[in-house]
Amino acid sequence: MLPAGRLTLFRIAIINILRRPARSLCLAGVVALLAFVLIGGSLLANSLSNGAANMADRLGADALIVPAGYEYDVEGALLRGEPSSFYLSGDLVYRLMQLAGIKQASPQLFIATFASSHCSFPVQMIGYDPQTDFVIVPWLSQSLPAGLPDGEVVVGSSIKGMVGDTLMFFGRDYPVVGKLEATGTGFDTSVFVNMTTARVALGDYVKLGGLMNVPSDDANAVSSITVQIEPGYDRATFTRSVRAGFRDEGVGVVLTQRLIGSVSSGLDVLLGIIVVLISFLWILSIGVLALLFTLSLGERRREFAVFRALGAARHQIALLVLIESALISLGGALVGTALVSLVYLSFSPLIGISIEMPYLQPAAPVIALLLVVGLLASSVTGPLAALFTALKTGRQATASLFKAGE
Amino acid sequence: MLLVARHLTKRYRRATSDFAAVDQVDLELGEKDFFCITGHSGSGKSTLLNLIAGFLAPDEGTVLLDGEKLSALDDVAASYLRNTQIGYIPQGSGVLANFTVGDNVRLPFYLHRRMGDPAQRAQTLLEQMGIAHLANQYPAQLSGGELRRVSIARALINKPCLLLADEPTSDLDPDAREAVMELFSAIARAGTAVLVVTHEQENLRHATRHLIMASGRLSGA
Repeated sequence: MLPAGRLTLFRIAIINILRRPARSLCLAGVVALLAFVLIGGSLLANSLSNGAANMADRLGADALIVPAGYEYDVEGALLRGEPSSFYLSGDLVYRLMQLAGIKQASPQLFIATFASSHCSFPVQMIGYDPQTDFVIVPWLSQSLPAGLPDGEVVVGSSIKGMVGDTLMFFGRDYPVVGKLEATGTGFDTSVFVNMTTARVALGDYVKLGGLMNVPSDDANAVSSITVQIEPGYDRATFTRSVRAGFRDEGVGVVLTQRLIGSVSSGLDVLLGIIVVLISFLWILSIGVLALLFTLSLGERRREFAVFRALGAARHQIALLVLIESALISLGGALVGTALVSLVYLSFSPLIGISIEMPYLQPAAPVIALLLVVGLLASSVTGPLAALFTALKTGRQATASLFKAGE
Repeated sequence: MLLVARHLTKRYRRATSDFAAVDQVDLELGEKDFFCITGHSGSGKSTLLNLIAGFLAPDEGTVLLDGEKLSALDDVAASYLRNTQIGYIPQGSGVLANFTVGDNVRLPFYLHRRMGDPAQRAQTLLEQMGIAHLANQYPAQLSGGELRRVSIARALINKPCLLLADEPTSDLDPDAREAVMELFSAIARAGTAVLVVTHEQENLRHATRHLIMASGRLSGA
């Protein structure tokens, strides 16, 4: 019995692809690699941009006052969630408020929990003053409108623990009453408590012999002071006046604008590399695919000549080549997209940690959009690369039948 | 007349001088005619066949197929004419390696818009060629003679009025060659005009007329 079904150009293209598996897989592999890098790079770039934008929103303050020499530690705590403990005298807050140009100031207490039987896991505990805070309170109020009670904690998005769970820190249990949405900053791996709770935790910490640098004579010790500068007040003047006014106390000033700037410039470099890499790979892919198509079509000259002899018009030959390249590209792009989706969605948290920069996975619709755009962009690469060859083949097919002069 | 070629000329440039691969050829072919053209290698036989099939545009002269001037047609119209009126058997196997024998034979039917299903006609042609049992085989599994029969069946699928064959028996053993020429003879008797280019003298006894090509010129034997 003869096979059934119409032999449309589409079906002919599928038959040609399936009957040349090695060639088809080779071509599809190039497109799959392109799709992987294109979409992976876009997702990474988007996650980093998202993280940086969110960090700027979340930091909220214009400056952070920290013990001199701990400027990098506070960056690590805020950007990467690296547990840190460092302390300043608590009365600095009130003295700081006397300086010109300061609109608001609020203390924060950082306590690094540790890996032992006394703590659930090592994280950064951040205590804030509900009376004066202007950074964390507005954010927490979205999930806890009534505020955070004493003895309870709110956890960052990456902390293992849901509302209703209990976490132990320094031998004391703390019920989890809220979980924050992801920010792409160190806040995702931090737990938040009010200042009263933080002082209890710090006391427990000291009792367990945790710290050497807690001022024993200062029950109001703090780790950093978040400062909001009066609009229009010069930040350099502010920095100079803090350093001059608190020279004996040894304080350092971290301007968040500079912090964001350093992250942004690092991000710009990384994004530049990603864009260059994607552009290079795209051009390379088009070149490699064009070469592979040209080579394979060179081998198929007689095949196309036979099509012409059977009555196929030039545009049909060109269309057949384009359909084949489009189907191969689509197949490769689908595989590349599936692989990058699997890798990205499975390992996104690990990627974020290993990059050591603010990293925030975009929302599902944005991810879907990037996947679709990447899939389409990769899919058109094959037909683009084959276009010239297809048109040339359409013209050459007949000529290859001839043996000039015979 | 079904095919009329007048003053057909095709020139090529070789090194620094022009030469006429086909030089002022006149040819007429009617229904049931079975012409064989012989000639040495390089005499212009294949070029003449390509001019008649419309693959090449002549430098001089015209080819009329059923009154239609081939060189006046655009590519789509010429391709349609070739698909519907001309059965072309290229030199060598010419069978598409990716397709089964059955699909090879059915393929020309689908190259232009048509209603219906060619399966029954393809089956009949394969039976006539004695290769119906090979319908689902791929060309790599067939012998040279079988491949040539597939080419002939495929050339006949659209019921052409003219069958052109370029060296159809060049690589076949004597029995297969004889069988193929018998097929052409039967096709011609059934009404299709057949023009075969060959260099094998043994084929000539099947033809109704023998023409000789030499230095681009065509003459009767």
